Amino acid sequence: MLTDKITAYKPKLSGHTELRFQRNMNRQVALIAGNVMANGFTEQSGVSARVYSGGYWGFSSAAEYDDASIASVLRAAERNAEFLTSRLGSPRPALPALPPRKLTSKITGYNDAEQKYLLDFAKEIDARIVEKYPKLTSRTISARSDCTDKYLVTSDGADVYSVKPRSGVIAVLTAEAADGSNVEVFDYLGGGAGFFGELFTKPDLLYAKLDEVYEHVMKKAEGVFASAGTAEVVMDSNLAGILAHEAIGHTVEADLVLGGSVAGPFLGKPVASEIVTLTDFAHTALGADLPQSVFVDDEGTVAKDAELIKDGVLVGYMHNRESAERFGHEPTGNARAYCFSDEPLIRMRNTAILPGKDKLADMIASVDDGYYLVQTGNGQADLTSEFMFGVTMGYEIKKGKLGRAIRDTTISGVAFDLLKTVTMLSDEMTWASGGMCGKKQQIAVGMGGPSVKCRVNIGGK
Amino acid sequence: MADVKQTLYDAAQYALDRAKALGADGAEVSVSTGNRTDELNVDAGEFSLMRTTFGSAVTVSVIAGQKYGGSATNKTDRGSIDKTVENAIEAAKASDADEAQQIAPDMGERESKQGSGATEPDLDAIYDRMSEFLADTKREYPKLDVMQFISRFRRSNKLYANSSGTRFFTERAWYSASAEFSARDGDEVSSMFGAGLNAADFNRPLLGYPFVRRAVEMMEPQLKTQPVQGKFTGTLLCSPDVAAELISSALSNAVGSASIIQKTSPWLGKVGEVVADPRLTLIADPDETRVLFPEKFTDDGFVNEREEVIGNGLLTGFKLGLYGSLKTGLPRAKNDGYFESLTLGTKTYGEMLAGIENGLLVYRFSGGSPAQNGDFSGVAKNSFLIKNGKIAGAVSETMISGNVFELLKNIVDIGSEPDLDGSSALPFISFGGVTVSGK
Repeated sequence: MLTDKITAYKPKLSGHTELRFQRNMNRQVALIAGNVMANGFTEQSGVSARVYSGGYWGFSSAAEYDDASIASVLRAAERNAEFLTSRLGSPRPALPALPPRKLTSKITGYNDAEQKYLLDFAKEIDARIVEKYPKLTSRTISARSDCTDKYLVTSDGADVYSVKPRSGVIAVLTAEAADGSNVEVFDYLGGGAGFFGELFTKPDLLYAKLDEVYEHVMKKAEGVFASAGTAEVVMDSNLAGILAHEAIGHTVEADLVLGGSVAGPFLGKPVASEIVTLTDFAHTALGADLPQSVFVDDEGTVAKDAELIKDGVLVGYMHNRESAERFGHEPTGNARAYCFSDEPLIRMRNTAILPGKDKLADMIASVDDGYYLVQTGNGQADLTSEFMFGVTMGYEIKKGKLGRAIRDTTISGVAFDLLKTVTMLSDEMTWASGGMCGKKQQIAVGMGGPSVKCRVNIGGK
Repeated sequence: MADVKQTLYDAAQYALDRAKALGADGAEVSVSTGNRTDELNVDAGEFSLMRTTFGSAVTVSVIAGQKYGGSATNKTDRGSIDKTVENAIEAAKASDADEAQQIAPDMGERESKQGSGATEPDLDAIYDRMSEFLADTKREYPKLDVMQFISRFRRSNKLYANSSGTRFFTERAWYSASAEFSARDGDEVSSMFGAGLNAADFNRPLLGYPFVRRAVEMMEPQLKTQPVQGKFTGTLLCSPDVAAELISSALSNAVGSASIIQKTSPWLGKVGEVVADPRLTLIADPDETRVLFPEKFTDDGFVNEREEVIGNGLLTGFKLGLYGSLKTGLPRAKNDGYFESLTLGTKTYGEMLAGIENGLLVYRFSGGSPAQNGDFSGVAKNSFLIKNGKIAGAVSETMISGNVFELLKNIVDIGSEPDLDGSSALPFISFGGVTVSGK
């Protein structure tokens, strides 16, 4: 048993050493216009060691699990830390040891559906599209599942085993617009934390959402271009999640604060409207399990919620053990690694703006001339908190009523300025966990929020 | 190295034999082993981490009864290969028959050695170059904050093999450096920017690369930015990276295999027609000497040849692999890359700038993928207003919008000075008729 082998190494670890075994599995199917264009399963696994000495980290990894390989990565990690201390000295003391902690996740093994299940599921949805929506010019259906399975032991007593499955089904529907060009709408038909076979039992449970995506794309085909400039908007919860993650979240990751984020001088100061509270949750929130639950992170720290903005005031950062020590804060358990060959970095887990008290219908009714932004394709931001989100589905709001759909556009702004313009938050929220965040390594993240009424720059003609 | 090569040949043959034994009519495998990366990291201006990773990879694609399936692992032992082939066969059995699913014919045995001939990293050279960059920038550009800075030596060995008999062996070794930085003055912080390069050796100071110095030099002026007031139509003077990004997004929508198979490309039926300014010729060339790793082989088992997807403004064809070609009945591309160089123009960056009356100098574009019809919009980051041929200050909260297909026809100038970063050889390009909007 691999677990027995790993446990045997636990008492042999000295100094500040982490030893991690990890397996990433990924199963994917994609049908483009009915053609099977992706159909496969990928598995990557291996062992890594990380050593902290004198203020520097040494890391090494290898694909093999045998004793020689484990000994080799431990030696290489030590040697790498020594390379840096031999040139730079040892300016920092050891990180404080944590109390011993042991944790095994509720899910204890990989138990996903086979390739045929995903393929048949996708084919049934594709057949439904062909039968029910003949006006479409093309369609893509993608079904995927991934699972991370890891075991971490550390020299200061962490002994942690976790299994994290995630699955999703995506539809991209394409229709011809009046000008002869093609427009498309992309959306998740369903998904979240869990094995594919557990989350997706029958394709017809997704048909209501599929109808909704079809309705959007047909309205978009008759859509108009947004008018470039600053506008009052209601962002659907899909966009609130990416605002929380991309535009604010990255600026308050402690390593990026050390790197010069604009949020550095704002700690303890008002940065948003008083109705805005934003938290990076570890595993549960508002009574529900979250899509990217982290109970103990990849440094062996017991994870806790990182409260970032409370009632409009910036109150904290997300930390790993080293950044917490430098700031004199408590570690929050945000150190995460994507693959066995990756070192843990400060990463978000489940980042969300908390819901308010308003009804979405009242929010739309309160806008005289603006936009209701429904779906985003991608988002980017930098350490000034200036952000950009692609908007792939939205509607005009005219005198409090939804109007024509708009074609693809982009919104932008400075997030810490935008948050001060927030006047209404809806009383419901949704979570999404289909995407990956890129920061040296990619990693699965959860993000969520309510609908948000604010002012933003919008691209157009 | 001979041992590694033989290991790859043995593993590939074993996988192909297993696939045949399990019922595959044809198969292709890619096997890689003996890969090693040595990496030094700087975070927040200080050395933080040194990494050494060892890696392997096996990718198997099978066709059984005209059905396709694939699988991959990062281990080369026989048990892992068995399991990977079985997964690929299982996937194929679950799929639909498609007569376009075929394995490329026998292209013979080829070998490519690229980059440095080194087998071991010169760690002192990596450390010294990084220390030098930190010291040089601290001295010459005191307001520069180096946020993350990573340098690597990488070595990889890969064999592509298929059941028709093709064997392509590729051996690579190289150094790379990438840095992200911003400028800071008290609580004022600029937008972040970066520079990166691949090189056969680390014999040259990083600030000695003109595009690295240019990137560092333009940070401090970005501490004071202003949004563009209102909206105007003007000329974008795009850095090589931004120009390549805009052109590539047009190509993805118009010549990429997915858009041709789905028949959503606006260029369907336009081969031989004008799609761009006649000065634009985009070149993908496996013998390009200014690039460290020009791709010698396609992913589906063919030898890359020189190809201009757009030649003198005319569309020459689509980027279809074997599957896309058989699926659509259109010719297979001779090179599966879009471009890594283009025919240079005659003007220097300074001459291009001097010719722009009203426009924007754009070093980074932060935008969504263009719509199928080519419409795009996004934020001009690390950008400067141009008035009467001169830089008139850094901008913030400024958006640009237009249509990528129209951009190709509205080229104002193509520069004469390519950035040579080891990955491409591309110059500044200016495009007219773009909407610039601020507050």
